[in-house]
Amino acid sequence: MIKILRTIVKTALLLIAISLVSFLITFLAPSDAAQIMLEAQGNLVTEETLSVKRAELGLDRPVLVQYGDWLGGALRGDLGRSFKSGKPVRQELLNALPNTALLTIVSTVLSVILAIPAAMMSAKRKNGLLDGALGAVSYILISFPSFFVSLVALYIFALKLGWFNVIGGDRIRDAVLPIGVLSITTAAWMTRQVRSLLLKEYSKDYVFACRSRGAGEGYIMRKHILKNCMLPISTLVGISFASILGGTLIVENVFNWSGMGQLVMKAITNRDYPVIQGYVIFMSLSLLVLNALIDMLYLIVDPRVRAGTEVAGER
Amino acid sequence: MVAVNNVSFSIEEGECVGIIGESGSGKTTLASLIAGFERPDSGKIIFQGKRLYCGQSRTARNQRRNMQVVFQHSASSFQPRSTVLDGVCDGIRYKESAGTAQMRDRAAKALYQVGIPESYFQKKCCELSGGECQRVAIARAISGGPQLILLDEVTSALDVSIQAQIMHLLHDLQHEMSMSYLFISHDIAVVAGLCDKILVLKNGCIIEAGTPRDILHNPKEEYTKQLMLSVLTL
Repeated sequence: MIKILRTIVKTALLLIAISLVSFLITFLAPSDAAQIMLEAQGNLVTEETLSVKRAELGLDRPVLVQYGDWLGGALRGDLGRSFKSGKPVRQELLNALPNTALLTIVSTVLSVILAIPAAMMSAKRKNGLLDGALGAVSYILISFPSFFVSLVALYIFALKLGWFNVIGGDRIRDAVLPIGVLSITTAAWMTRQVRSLLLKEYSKDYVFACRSRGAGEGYIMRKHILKNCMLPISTLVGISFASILGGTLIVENVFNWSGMGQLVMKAITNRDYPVIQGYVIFMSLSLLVLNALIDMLYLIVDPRVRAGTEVAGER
Repeated sequence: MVAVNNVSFSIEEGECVGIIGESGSGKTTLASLIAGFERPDSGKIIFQGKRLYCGQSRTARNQRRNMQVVFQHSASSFQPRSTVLDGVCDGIRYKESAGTAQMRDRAAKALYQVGIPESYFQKKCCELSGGECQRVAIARAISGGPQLILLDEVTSALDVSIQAQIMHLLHDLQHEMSMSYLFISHDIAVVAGLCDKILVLKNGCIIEAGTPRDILHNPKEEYTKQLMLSVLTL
């Protein structure tokens, strides 16, 4: 119970620290939100109109006052209003959330489905032809940035083969390519990580002992090795989820998928600070909650962690 | 590098053969070859009248099911999360298709045979002492009724009183179940107490062989005398 309370307090303090840092970074950015908004609305930009707009947006106050104001609102669930649309930031984020959640959750599940069997095959045939081929494909996919893989996927599957819409959209069918890119690039990374975990487990004495009793490799893998690797694999799944959530920022923009990534990219262009700040807080909160859940999973499943005798090198 | 060279010997049904030698003399390599973990560059090993295969082929696995290995550090030879009873069930599981209840009954019987009480059945193997763990490992080895058990330095990590208990246990089990043992140790006194025949291994070659009486009372090789002397000076 104390551990859970400690985790909650730590999460809250971290969130405040992250929000302060992100607030200061956006404040230090060289461009002026008021000027960008006036220009976008086609208004004449003069010193007078600028100061009126700054006062209207609350940007004329000291930065710490602005932050305190924002934090007070955030604690009540009010993340402010978008400079651009004038709508509540919370509403804007919630509207974009389902699309991003769809990409993130489906991509995470798919990457796990692809990575674990691939890692099992790779580990079972260590240094074999299949292991080499899977390793090569994984390294290629890990090396390429996601926007490049996205563009290649668009070129092949949308432009050349015509299977998907080139300009993207918000139908389920339009989610196939972004999900494909996110899950394949994440699966490539996860395959290498899970393979290492499995190989480490493979070298343990009990596996050798199982083999000496005539157990088949498939049985040893399924019943012993994979079972013992499930906790570290759950950590990898958490990291993958975070990586995919971050990756949506690029992929949603390439595929014109209107999720949170696209929303924040527009907000960055328009210096829409409240939306940027809301996005940062949402992302941080998601990742911190995810981490806390994984920690709790360890506490529940692994008696050694519960007893405070965690085995070194296992996590 | 040649670890084992020109080695030839036989183990009869119900016989206990001991292999002694210093560290690096090739004892464990010989055990690995017999257990099918390593492939010999030349020569052959015959088990139950058939050439012994190594690797992960079905034939090799089937042959291995009639042969069990007990390791020096038995605690690490158990699945970290398995209980004592489940760990012993592993000795039966791979050999034949018995139902869970039947398998547990047989595992319990094997555990009683080695003197492990029922209160230990649900403990994790890592919670046991060295001697208890070695007993559970022996129970696992005998649970499937193997023809041959390879005992690789099984008493080396135990203190003297526990060593004696384990030796008595192995002796009783062998008489009860008519199994063959290949007992590997660097301790000639331990080997002599249990085995019908002793092979002295040096640099991968058998330099002397005979009954414990022959080896202890009339050693021919200087190396054997030194091995005996090392025990006496201890």
